[in-house]
Amino acid sequence: MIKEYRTISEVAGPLMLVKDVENVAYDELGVIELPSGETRSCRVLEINGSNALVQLFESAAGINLAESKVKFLGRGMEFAVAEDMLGRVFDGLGRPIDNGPEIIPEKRLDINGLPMNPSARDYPNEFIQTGVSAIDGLNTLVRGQKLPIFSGSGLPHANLAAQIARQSKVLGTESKFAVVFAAIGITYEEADFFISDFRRTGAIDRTVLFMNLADDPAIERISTPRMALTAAEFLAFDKDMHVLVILTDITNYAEALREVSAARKEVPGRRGYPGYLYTDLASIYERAGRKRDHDGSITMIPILTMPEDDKTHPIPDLTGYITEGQIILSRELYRKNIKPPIDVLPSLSRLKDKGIGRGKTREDHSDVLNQLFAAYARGKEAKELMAILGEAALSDADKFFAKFADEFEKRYVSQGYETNRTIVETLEIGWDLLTLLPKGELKRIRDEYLEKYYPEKE
Amino acid sequence: MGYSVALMADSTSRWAEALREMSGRLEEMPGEEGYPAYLASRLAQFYERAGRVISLGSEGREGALSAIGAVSPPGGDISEPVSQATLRIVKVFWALDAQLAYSRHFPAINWLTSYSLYVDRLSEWFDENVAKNWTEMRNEVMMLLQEESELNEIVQLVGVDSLSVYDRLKLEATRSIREDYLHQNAFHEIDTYSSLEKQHKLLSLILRNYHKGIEALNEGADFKALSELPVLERIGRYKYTEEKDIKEAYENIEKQIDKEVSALTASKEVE
Repeated sequence: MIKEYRTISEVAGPLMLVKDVENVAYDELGVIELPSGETRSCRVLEINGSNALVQLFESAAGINLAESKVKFLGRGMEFAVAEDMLGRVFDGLGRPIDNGPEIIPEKRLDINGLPMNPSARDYPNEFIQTGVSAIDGLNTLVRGQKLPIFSGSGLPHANLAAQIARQSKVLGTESKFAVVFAAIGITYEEADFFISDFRRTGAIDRTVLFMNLADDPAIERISTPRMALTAAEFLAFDKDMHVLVILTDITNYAEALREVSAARKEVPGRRGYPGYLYTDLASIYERAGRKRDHDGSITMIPILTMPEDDKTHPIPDLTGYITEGQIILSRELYRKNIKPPIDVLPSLSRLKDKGIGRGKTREDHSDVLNQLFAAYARGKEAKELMAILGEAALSDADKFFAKFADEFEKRYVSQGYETNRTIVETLEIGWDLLTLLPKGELKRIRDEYLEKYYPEKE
Repeated sequence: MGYSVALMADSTSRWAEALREMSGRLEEMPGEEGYPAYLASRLAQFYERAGRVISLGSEGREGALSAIGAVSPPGGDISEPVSQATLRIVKVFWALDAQLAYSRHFPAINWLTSYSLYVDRLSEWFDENVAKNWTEMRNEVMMLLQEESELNEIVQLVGVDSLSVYDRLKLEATRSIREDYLHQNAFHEIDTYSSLEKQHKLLSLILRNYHKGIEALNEGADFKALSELPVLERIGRYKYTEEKDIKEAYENIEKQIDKEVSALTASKEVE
């Protein structure tokens, strides 16, 4: 029997206290009925004896303590999943907002999901060709990886993410990615940019959209990524699809978490974020991957804008410890009109080694990658020296490296948002750039590859 | 059981954060940065369980537990409680450096800030079991790397041309130490593991080239020519030599160093 309680004793910010409750569990969903008949949703954060502390999903305005009623639904927040989700648009709490009907569920799943059994995980090793050289060549993405984009306000992360979603494919197969896109606190314009791009390419029919926009309630943001991942997990592991999940913007998610944590008067960690921010972010990021004996996969690209472009801020710092690398956008490169402005040195893909090489991309990929990095790093150092002391202060070798660094940025990294390069094209451009250096300096490439692939000058 | 066990704990910082969360819920008085006041002693209790023992029983089996803990300080700043408490307890510190990682110098161990307090105790073992001059060589290499860092400060200010040719030769030698000896590719079948004998031979070649270079400069050889000798590339590729070939390759390169360097001063004499 579902009980209805009229014992709301306090409302403070996003929190509400209901007294004298029975048999109510942690994380349980509740429905508040206002005197007007309107309903709001909430969930249980804490039980203290017979008092339940709940977190509201919407604003508290209009909740009359004496006359509003609460009933607890005996389950956590769930999302109704079905293959019909593809092509639909939902709000941050999973309700359809595209004037279409409710989904007829194949299943109802708790949005928190269950952590994947570690021994059931399969090691991601299938190369994804994104068509972006700075990623394919140097920070390779594989199916099942979680690879975030660390951006700053005003940088073109949306263009890059849309380009990746549009161009990604696994070589040797025709199967396309299904896309799950979660807008977490972003503006209407930014969300519309993605939707228009998906429409332009026809990807919209294989996309599930969850929209919590900047003017939607902030508290919803805590559920939105989990909704999206529940949908993705169903498509990937029940329907054997390859799903690309794009979450933007994680910074807004963390801010919402901080708001609730502060309201609960929890002891804050760094910068006022909750001490459990790491664990909470991990509970989202770790839902990417591949499962043994299942064909589907979830590849995740979370996007976060670093406050003050500071990589040591808790959000990018902790995200970096959890995800399998990062793609970092640089304001300095953006100002130099490098598109996409990917700073390859601090970027990293931890899973690239199993996804490249003979049988996957090309046998020389790894050596060329190492050499390009080493050369670019030395070139950047040389350029810094040049900036202070002038070109005359450089040794002869360093002059070559400085020139290399410039050409590398202009030709390898800066390719535009509409160019789709095959991995062979990416490797060839890399080799061509390496000819700018004295051949004896190419110490990271083994002799047999130098012989086979070093371009002959006409 | 008499095994030698390597225990890797990744990452002790997360353990400390969990301690902090539990301590907060238990409403204990927090210490620095919200960590419990007993953080340092808990860490010590963990690390102190490492060691070497003779197991009970008549066979006299020898067992050992080596503990390698990772510390992930927020923002990479080691002035925080977990890092500082750990450093007070452990005897070896491998400081991973972001700048090295960005330039893809792996392993990204900063050779100036890392240390091992076992160096002195082990030097006797190295000198007996690897090579007589191991400790002497190690000390010279560390000194060169330290001097490189000081010279680089000057180079940043006034450029590399302001250095004497001897200093420039030193920088070439340290570049070789860094790129040829310190840098290793964990994904290369051969380079991933470098035996002590191979390490000794590689360093010997680099230092031999450096010492011969100094002699050559004394006799008026041209620095630029010294920095462009073909043998340098061979030294750079020595790390890819298979274990069975290292002795022969070493002797060959040794001869080539002597030959090429002395050719520079021979031509001078002829003039």
